[in-house]
Amino acid sequence: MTSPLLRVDGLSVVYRIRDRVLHGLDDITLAVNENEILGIVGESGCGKTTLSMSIMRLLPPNAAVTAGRVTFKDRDLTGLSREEMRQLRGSEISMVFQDPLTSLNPTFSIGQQMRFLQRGHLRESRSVQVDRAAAALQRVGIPDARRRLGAYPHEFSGGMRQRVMIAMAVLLEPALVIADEPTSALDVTLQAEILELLDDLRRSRGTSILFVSHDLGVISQICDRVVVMYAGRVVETGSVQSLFACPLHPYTRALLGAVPSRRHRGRPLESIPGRVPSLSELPIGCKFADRCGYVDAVCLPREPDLLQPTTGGDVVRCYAYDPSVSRSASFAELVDASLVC
Amino acid sequence: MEMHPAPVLSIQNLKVHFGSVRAVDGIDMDIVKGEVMGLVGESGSGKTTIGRAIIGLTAVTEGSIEFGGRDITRLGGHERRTLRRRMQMIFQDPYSSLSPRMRVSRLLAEPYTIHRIAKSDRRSATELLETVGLSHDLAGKYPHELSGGQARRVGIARALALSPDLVVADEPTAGLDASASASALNLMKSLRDTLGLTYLIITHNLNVLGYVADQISVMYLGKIVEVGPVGAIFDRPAHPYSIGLLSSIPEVGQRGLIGRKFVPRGEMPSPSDPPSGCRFHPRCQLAKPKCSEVEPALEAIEQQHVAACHFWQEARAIAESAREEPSSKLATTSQGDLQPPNREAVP
Repeated sequence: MTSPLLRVDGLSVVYRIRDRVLHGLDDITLAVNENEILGIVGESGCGKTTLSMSIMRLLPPNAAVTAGRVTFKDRDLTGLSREEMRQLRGSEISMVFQDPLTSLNPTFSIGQQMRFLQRGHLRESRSVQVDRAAAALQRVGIPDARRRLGAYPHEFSGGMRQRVMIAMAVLLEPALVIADEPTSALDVTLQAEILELLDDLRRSRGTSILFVSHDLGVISQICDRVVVMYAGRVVETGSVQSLFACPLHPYTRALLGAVPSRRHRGRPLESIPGRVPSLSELPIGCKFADRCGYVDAVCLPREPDLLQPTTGGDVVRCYAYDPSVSRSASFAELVDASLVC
Repeated sequence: MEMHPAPVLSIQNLKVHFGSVRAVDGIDMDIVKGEVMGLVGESGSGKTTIGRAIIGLTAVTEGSIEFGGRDITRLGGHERRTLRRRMQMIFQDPYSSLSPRMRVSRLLAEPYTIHRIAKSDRRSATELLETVGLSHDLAGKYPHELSGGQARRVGIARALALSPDLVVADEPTAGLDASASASALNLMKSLRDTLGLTYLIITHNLNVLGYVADQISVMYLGKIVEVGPVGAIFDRPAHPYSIGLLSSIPEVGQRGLIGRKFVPRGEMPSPSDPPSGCRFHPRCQLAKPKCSEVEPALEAIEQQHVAACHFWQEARAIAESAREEPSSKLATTSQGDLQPPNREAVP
C-alpha cells in the first residue's frame, strides 16, 4: 500500500481569546489517500474549518498549533517556510470555499484572477496561460469560456460562480482540493451538479478531495470515507457504507436520527438534547457524555481513546467498545445495535 | 363535489411584480385550518415573496388574499392591523430579526406593545419560553448570547405571543445544525397539534416538508406547477420539475434514488423575461415543441393532486421506471441502498 497523500498526526490547535484558551482541535489523526474523497462531518463549532485552515496554514494569528504534524507527499507542512508554503498553496493543495462571492475579488475579471494564480507559480507565456485558464473554465462546464475570462464575479450567477471557484482551484492541477462546505449556499439542483462535477474531477484527474460539510446527505453522496468530529476531536471514522448503515458512536447515531429523510418520511426526528460544549469549558471525560443516551459512570472521569472495534480499521472514541471496560446494560444495547446490523 | 373545510387562507390569482420582475405571476392557494402547507422551490422562484405578500410586507400587484373571510389586500389601517395580529411570521434569519439591543423578555413583550394589548391579556415571557421548550433563565439574555437553535425558538415564541391562526415560516431550519433543526421542526409540529396552528412553511428543502407538511405546493419562476398531499408529491410526483427537485436531494445512505436524468440542468431564467409556454421548458428533459408554445394549466391528475405539465403521464412513467433501477454516475453499488458493511467485531 502506498503512503497516503495527506496525513494529519495528532494535530492540536488552540485559540487564545483575551485570557481564555479554546481547544479548537485536539489530537486529530486522519489520512487522505490518492484519488479519494474524505468527508469531514460535524456540527458548527466542531473544528471542521479549523482543521482545513491548519492544513493550509491559514489559521488566524491568535491560533497556534500546539502539537502534531501535517504531512503532504511525505513533506512536513508544519516545518515549511512561509515562501515554501505559499508555493504549495494553489499548485499542490487548493481550496474551495462556501461563499464564492466573498472569496473572489470583485474588482478583477475572472481571467485576471486566474492569471495572478498562474504568475505566482508557473513561467508560461501569456497565450499559454489564457489557453490553460479557458480550458479550466470549460472543464467545469462554463460555456463560451474564452470570452467569459473577461467577465467579473458579479456577472456570474451563484452556481456559475461556484464553478469558477472550482476552476481556479483545479487550474494548477493540485493533488488535493480542500472543499469547505462548497455547496451549502446553493439550491439542491445546483448542489447536485457541483457534486457531480467534483466527482468527475476525481475520476478524470485523480484529484483527492477533503470534503468538509455539516450535511450528512451530501457526504453520503460523494465521499468514500468519513471522519465524524465533535468538540475538536475525531469520534468515529469509517467507509461511507459502514458509517451510514451501522454507525458506532452514539453521536453519529444521533446525528443520523436528526436528519429528515425521504425513506422515513413523517418519522419523528431525534434531536440531541443539550448543546455542543463550549471549547473553553470542555468536560474532562467524554465530550459527548452530557448529551449521550448511553452514558455510563466510566465516561465521566476520563476521555476514551480511539478504539478499533471492527476488523476494517475504522475507529471510534467510545467506552462501549472498550473490551477492558465492563459492559453496562446501555453499552450492551449500543454495541448490539451497531455491530449486528 | 366533495366537502372541504373552509380554508383559513385563500389566495386567488396573486401577482407581485417589482417593475419588470414578475416575482409572483398569478398563483392560487388554499390553506385549510390545522394544516401545514409547504411551499418549495429554488431561490428566485418567488416563494418568499408569497409569504411576504400574505403578511403584508410587500405590495400586491393584482389578485386577492382572503384571510378570515376578508380580502386583506383591500383593507386599510385599523382593520388590517387587527387581522394582522392573527397571522405571524417566523423569519429566515433569527439573529437579524431579533433586535440585538433588547433582552429576550422585552423581545417577547414587543408584539403586545405594538398591538397595544391590555396587560391582563398578555402572556409572560416565562410562559412563552416554556411553550417553545426554553428555560426561563433565557429571559434576561441578549440575542447574541443565544445559540442558533435558541434564537430560532425565541422567534417562534414571538410569533406565538399573539395566539395567531396562521404562522408563515420562511426557511425555519436554515442555518441550523441537524440536531437543532430537528428540534425546531418537532416543536413546530407539536405546536400545530396542541394549539391547532395552521402553517405555511416556505423552504427549498423537500425533505423538511416530507417530515412536517400535509400539502406541498411546488413553485417555479413565479408559478405554482404542482400541488398535492405530501405522500402524492413524494411517491407519485407528476411535474418534471418536482421530480427533478426530488432527485436532487442528497439522501443519507442512498445514492441517486430516481437517478440523475431528471435533475434540472442549468439555472432558472430571469423572472423579468420568463420563457414562452411552459416556463420550465428550457431546463426540462422531456420538453417538446408544444411546451414552448402553449402554457400548461394546472390539471387534476388524481384527487387533490394537480400539476401543470402537458406530458405529466410520460414524466411520471419515466420517474417510476427509474425508481425501479436506481443507478447513477455517483453510485458505487449496483443497488440504490448502500450495501450493509462488512463489519465484524474484533474477537
